[in-house]
Amino acid sequence: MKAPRAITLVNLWMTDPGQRYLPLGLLWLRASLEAAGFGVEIRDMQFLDDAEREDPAALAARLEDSHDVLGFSLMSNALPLVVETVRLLKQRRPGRRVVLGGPGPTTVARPLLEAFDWLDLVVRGEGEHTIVDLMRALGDDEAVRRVAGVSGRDAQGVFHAPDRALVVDQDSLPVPRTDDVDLSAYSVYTTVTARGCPYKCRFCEIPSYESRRVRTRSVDAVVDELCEVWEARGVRSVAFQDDIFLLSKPRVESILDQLHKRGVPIEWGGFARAGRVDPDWLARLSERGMRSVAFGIEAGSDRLLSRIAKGLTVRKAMQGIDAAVPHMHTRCFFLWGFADETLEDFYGTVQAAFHAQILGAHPEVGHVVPLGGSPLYLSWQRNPLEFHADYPFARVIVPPHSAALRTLVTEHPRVFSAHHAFPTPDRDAKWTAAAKAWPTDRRPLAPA
Amino acid sequence: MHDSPVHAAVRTYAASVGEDFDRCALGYAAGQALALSGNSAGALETWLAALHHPGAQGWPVLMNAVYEAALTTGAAAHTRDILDRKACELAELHLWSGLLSRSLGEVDRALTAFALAAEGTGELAFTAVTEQVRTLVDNDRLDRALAVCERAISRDTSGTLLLRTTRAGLLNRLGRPEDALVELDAVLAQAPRLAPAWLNRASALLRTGHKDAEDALHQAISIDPTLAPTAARLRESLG
Repeated sequence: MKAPRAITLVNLWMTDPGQRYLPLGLLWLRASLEAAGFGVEIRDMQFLDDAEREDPAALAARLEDSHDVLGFSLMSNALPLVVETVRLLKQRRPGRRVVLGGPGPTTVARPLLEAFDWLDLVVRGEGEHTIVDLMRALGDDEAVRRVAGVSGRDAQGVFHAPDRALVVDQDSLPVPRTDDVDLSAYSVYTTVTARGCPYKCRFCEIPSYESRRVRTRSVDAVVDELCEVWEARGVRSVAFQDDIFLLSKPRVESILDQLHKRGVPIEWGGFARAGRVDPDWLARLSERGMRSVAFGIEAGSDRLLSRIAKGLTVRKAMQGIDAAVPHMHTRCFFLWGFADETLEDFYGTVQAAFHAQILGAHPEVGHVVPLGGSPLYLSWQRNPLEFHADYPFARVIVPPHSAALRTLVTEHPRVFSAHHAFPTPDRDAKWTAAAKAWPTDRRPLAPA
Repeated sequence: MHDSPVHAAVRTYAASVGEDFDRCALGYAAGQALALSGNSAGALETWLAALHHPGAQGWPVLMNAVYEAALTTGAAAHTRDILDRKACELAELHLWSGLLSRSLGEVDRALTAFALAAEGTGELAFTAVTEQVRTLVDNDRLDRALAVCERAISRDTSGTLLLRTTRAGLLNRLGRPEDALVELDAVLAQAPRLAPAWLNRASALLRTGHKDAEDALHQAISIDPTLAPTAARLRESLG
């Protein structure tokens, strides 16, 4: 193909039902691509109805008129859908070069490309520099093979270029623009002030592509962005999407101080570690606009918390929740279904979730997902996973509704590990309890 | 306590969280674990044992759990008796005892319990009076319901405007819509966005054949859209 001058970027992030979030990852990519002189068209598939958004044929038809280079940003949940969509699209438009990026394909790039010969390229990890270098290299296979952070396929077979160094100076990245985005169509204005998480929770894969080194934008850059959208776009509330926004007390205070000085009293929320908050600080943050907090608690058993390297005790977790509830909407997340979770651990988690509820928090309980880049999965991957087409409880990642996609998932457990489950002891007893406590609201599966 | 995984989990969890949390909240969480393990009787027993902390966080949630478990395990009478014994220390329990008696069809015993709870103050007294009135209305004892309501109003119980709205509804049902309208006009003068008052006003106006009834229904629904089905039923039954 000739060196391209433009790309279509497709957002297929699917998160909370009924919620629509800004396609932040694609907006950051667009900023870098535009700064390098490339044209960028973003198509946000969040706005399709459920039936169309989950139908590969419909998605492929919608993308027939895209630019010759097409990039998908996705999490693990959308991976089977995208794989099939790309297959159908390639049948109709064989000349398209398709680039997959985001957490979904990043951690399974190798088995993904080996399994599906219609996939072209995967941008692994942080994509701003990689996508620009890749666009410059397209048209020259040898050059593409040398782009750090890219895995792909060409006439010589599948290749994996070395990892790309992470962007330490986040302010060096061009800032996304939202001037052409209808912000009112999204649930809330979201932004990221830092990338990376210093913790080493074994069920999580974030450190595998963002590292444990937290790389922050400067306080000035964050405040400038928020003042801009406050004044120009009428944004009054913000959800900070950092893995842990309340990580550095001085930094959070500095952001809030500057916003106050500039007369921008936003209301805001973000993620925090339950073990790193205290009642006085949360009370002060509440006075400074903090309206919601989300904690990952995961388990109600110290034994299991230790096994998953959460760096938290049950006592600290519940103290954190108790400290937050009087001041703000408090969400807390729990997981169950671990491979070494005893029935006693499980009932500990049940108690923690109900304890959180009676304290006034909003617990959300899900089945643990074997994420491809997580230490938990990587240490398990030689053992079999289970696939449950039918289940009676809420799940973070649900199996595809179509029989064809379910077959795709079950035939490639290493690619679609996130759609599977760890075998867990006393499964029947846990399922029965989970079905009563946290019933699923999913639609019935289509007949196989 | 039996040595099952769920009982072990209850002990471990309590030890893990330490002394910082009240026993009411912990009892609720432990009971949920027991209930989900299929031990509903054990759950109820645990929740009843946790009833030592009125006013603690989650107290109403715990009491709801007790009430539901008592009904689903067929232990309503047994639970009611336990609540009655504890009620000398915790007046709130009279209310829940009354609710269980009512579910057992023991109307007079329920009314006695509600009356005892209504001697309290604040939200408890208001709720107790409301349940007393509801029970009397359900049993076609409208005159006594009106007397209970008026006695509570005279005591200036919390929620007086709502009780006066209820009184107006009773007057209407007793065939005294004009008296009801006088009461409702007074209530709405103080609380013009009290949707139930508009609904009761519509009912009284419909009964008198007054043309403003539709306007009052519209007001009620515009303030509280969830009243739309009630309003529709009202139109159907009286219109």
